[in-house]
Amino acid sequence: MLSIVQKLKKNQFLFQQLVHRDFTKKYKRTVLGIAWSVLSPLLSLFVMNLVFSTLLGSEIEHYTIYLFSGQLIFSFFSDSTNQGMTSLLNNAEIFTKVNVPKYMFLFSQNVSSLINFGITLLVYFVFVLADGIVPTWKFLLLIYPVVCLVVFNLGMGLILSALYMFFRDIQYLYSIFTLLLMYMSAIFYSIEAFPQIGQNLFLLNPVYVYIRYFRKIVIDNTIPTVQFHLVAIGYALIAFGIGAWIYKKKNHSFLYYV
Amino acid sequence: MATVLKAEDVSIRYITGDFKDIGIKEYVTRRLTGNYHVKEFMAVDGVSFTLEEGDMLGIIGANGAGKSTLLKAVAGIMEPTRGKIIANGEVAALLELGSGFDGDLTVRENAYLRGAMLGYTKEFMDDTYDQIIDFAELREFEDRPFKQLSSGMKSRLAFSIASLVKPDILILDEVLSVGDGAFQEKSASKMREIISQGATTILVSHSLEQIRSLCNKVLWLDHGKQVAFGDTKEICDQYERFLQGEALPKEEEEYTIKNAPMQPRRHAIVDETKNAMSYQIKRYLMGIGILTYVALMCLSAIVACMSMRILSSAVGDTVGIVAELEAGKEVIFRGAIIDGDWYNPDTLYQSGDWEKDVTRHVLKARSDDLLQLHIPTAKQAYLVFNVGPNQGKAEVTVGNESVVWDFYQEADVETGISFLLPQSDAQLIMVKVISFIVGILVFVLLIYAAVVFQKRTNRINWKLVEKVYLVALLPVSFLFLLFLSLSSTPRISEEACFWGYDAAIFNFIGKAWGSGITPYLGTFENKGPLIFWIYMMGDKISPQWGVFAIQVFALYISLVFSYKIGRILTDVPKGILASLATLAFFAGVMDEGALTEDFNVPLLMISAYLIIRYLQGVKDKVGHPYKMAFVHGLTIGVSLLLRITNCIALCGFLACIGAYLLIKKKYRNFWRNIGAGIAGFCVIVLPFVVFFAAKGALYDFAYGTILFNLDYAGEAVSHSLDEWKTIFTYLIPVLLCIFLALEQNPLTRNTILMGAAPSIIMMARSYLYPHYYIVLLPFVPIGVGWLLQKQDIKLGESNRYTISYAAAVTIVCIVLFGRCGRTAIAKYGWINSLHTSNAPSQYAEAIKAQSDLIPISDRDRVVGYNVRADWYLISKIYPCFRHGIDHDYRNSISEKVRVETVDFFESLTAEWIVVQGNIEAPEVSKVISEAYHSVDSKYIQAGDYQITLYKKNDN
Repeated sequence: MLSIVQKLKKNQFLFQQLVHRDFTKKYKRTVLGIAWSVLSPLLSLFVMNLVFSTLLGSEIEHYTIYLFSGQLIFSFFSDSTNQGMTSLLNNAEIFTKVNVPKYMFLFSQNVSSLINFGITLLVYFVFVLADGIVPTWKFLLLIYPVVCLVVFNLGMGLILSALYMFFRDIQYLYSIFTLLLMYMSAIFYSIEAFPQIGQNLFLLNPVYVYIRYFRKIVIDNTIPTVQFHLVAIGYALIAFGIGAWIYKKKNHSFLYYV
Repeated sequence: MATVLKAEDVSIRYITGDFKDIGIKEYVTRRLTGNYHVKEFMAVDGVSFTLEEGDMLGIIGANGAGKSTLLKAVAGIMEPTRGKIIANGEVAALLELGSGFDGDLTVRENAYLRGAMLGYTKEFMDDTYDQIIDFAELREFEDRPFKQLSSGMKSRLAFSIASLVKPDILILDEVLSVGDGAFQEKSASKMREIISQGATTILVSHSLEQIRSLCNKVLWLDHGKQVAFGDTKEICDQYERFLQGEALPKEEEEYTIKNAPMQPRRHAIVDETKNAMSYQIKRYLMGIGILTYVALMCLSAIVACMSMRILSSAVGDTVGIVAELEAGKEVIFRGAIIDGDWYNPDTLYQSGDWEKDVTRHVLKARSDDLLQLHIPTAKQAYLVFNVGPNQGKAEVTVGNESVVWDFYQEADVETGISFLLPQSDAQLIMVKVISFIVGILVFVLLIYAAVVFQKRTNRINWKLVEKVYLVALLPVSFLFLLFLSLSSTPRISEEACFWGYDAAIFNFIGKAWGSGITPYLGTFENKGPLIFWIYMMGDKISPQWGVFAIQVFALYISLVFSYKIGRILTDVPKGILASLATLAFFAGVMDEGALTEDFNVPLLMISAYLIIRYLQGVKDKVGHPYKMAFVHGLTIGVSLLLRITNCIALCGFLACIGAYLLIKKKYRNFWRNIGAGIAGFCVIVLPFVVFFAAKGALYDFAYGTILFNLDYAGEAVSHSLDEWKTIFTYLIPVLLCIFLALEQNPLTRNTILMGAAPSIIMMARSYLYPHYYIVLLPFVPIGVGWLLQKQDIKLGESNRYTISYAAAVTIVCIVLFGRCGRTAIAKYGWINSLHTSNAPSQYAEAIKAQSDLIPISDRDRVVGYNVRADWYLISKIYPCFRHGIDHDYRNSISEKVRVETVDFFESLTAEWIVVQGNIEAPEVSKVISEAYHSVDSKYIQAGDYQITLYKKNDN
């Protein structure tokens, strides 16, 4: 444990520099810069709202927020993992020349996704207020799913970036997978119509778990059960554990696949 | 001066190949087809050097000599495959300077990023940034994007950043050759400055001038190997001469340089073995290859022929059912349940030469023929005959609904082996294709196994006498099996079936399978489907000799591998002894002169053989443990499909070995091996699962192979303490044998053997099921082999003692193991006349005579107790009994069955009862003595029992 802290301390500066690099690279050259990261989910939210609110919205309370919650979480997940997947290979030039912890690249990539998410989250709260939902102290609990999601994203990123090193076609498979996952995450529909067993099956989807947490707090104003909390953290830890294990195991093999 | 960097015999393996360009699909296909190869070569091979504080090492050598790889290992980017690198202090690496910068960032950002990568702090970078940029002469470019810089500028920046710090160890790869002349000069002086400050530096350069002027030590690499390490001048001179065309210093005599141990010898040896190996493989290809090819051709011809037969029989909607019947014999065909509806036989069109008696539901064959019925295409069809021993309740799924048939109660449904027909013609073909594929899979697997093991045996130099012996084992096993089956017990024959011998009944069921029908899996009893599959294959090869041939083959494999085990452990004569001991063990353990659930023995032997090879391989680098694990998985799978109780034992056995190896930390690649084991298991089990799933009989499969057995074992345990003893007594010797096999110390080994023997004897005393102990079989050669190992035997006295002990154990095994051995000795002598050939005819006469006493009108109201209806069929006796109950066997029926039986007698109006032997269940005996009276009693001399006919009392 101590050695990890020391390692982090030692690499703190590198981490800062990598985050700086990733963030500037991401936004410096686009016209709208950071604004784009806010606009992008808002635009898709707008389209979805337009399309689905007439179809499904009437049955769901606060449909815009319902939709936004899903869209917010899912786009964070998708952005973070998609960016994370290529992070290791993109930095191959560095880690084949300098002995740096390889997870740094992924982590720094995730930080810029997280900043992105943070900004969108602020917009989300503006929408929440605009929709007439009064924030309560329970909103503070939203930190929990966010932390879980960040850990989960990191874990998925570790797994994906490692796989991406070995199999480049993971990229295409993963984009299909992400698309499927979006439809399986009940972003724009309600799962109430499914029988109980079908509803339980949705809990197998970690992204849905985090989305549901958000909706429960924000729309239903209820705190999920302890089990639900355990499920949320469980997914995060499992993904992270697997990812960390792969990195540890394959630390020196990545080199051959560059 | 203190040692700063030390490399000890460092070797780095590098892998190349197109593995990084292939996608998942390609990867999986290659893995499956065994085409996945990576080329390995030693990029750095056995390099050793030591650097002290302030040393500057130059590394020279042609391109591809392994310089960069070595530096990567020093920098910690790669790990040495062998040897180690000890670095005392911070290492800063500058490998291929120009790269690793980000073109989109500005020069300043890149400088900071690079500084961060080299492990500098922010404060340090803030302090030294100006210095860096000035040294690199890039002040006017600092806010330009990096990509606009020329390559010289890039390298200047890189060098400036790296050199401005004071790392303990600095690595420079082709750094100093960058920039213009002036900068080169500047950088060289900078380097000297760093060195004078005490940093240890490693420099790679193609410029010998630089090396000469800067370095005080030089390491010369060529194709990964260390040519020389030492003083700069001397080696640089040599290198220059080498560059001018002189040969590489090869002989140690010619070039003796201090600190430069060269190892040409070792490589020479490697080459020799390689040659020897390829020579062996060539030889193997010549001899065995031709044989394998011929065998392959023969087998593929058989497979092709079989597949044609299977596929042609699947065409059309005709289905062949039941057994062959002689002309004039009758069989009652009650009808069929098709998609839940009951069909009378007359509503179904019959093909073939049949005469039908509609009132009595009797079909009569005009010539020897298979009964063929045309039935409508249906989701599920059930045909019912009153043959077979299938009593009790049966759960039948019709469509989506599950129906429980109680054969004691149901008026419309007859008992008998019910044949679940495939859903439709299309599916019938599919199912046949699947079973065909299963066949091919097993076949391919066998070939693969043969190749794998053949390669392995190449490492033993088989002598001529051994080869002759190994070949001779084939006729030995043939004669042995023939002798055993003809003498002590009947081979597969009608008589055997009459006596209810497993092998014969399996043959019967196997035949039914062969005609494309899965019998209701309740008939599995406590055996797995693989047995029937084997019998079916045997029947397809040749009805007369097919199964026998398979048995001979299985026995042969067992003997060969037992010989190999013994041979590895000791020498030729002891190997022969080991295989003969196995044969003796077989004599005792085999059931009724035939292998039934003991078909896993060959695999078991191979498993044991691999384990021993592996344990040896720990020291002589032989062995592919994942293949071993694969075979273990296969063995477990086969055992599961043969008999689950054996499988449980085997799992325990393998788990013990695995645990032992884990504890001893001898186990490498644990997870890979677990995976391989699971794969082996799936390879054999999955096709069966698919097969039964396709037939909609997955539950039956699970029930027949697993649930029934567990139930059965549980029942047995509850009714007899003996069974507890059985489980207990046979686990102990298994454990002991494992430790025996693994124990290095001869004294301990012998002690354990002494302990194991009493357990083996105790086991042999167990009345039931000698096959359980077949798992011990591989330990016979191990035990014999190790017992007689030369180095163990020190003195004449203990020598005699040990050998006689081994002999005693062997004899005990022969005498005590197995039912047939015991029975033969106890009752009928060694080669007995246990089953006289006139038994079935006596039986038939008795039954016929009694049948005549029963009026035709009453024939539907006859019950057989303790008689097996399939005997009637096989011995071609008119099956007149509505029910047969054969559970009163050794008084071993469970409480549940007892209650059900009594209920049955009390509730049903059975007019007549035929009882074979004594009624041992007291409740049943009571009911019969109260409500029935004896009409006729016949004594069957051959089997030493009565057949009694009872009639209901008139009141």
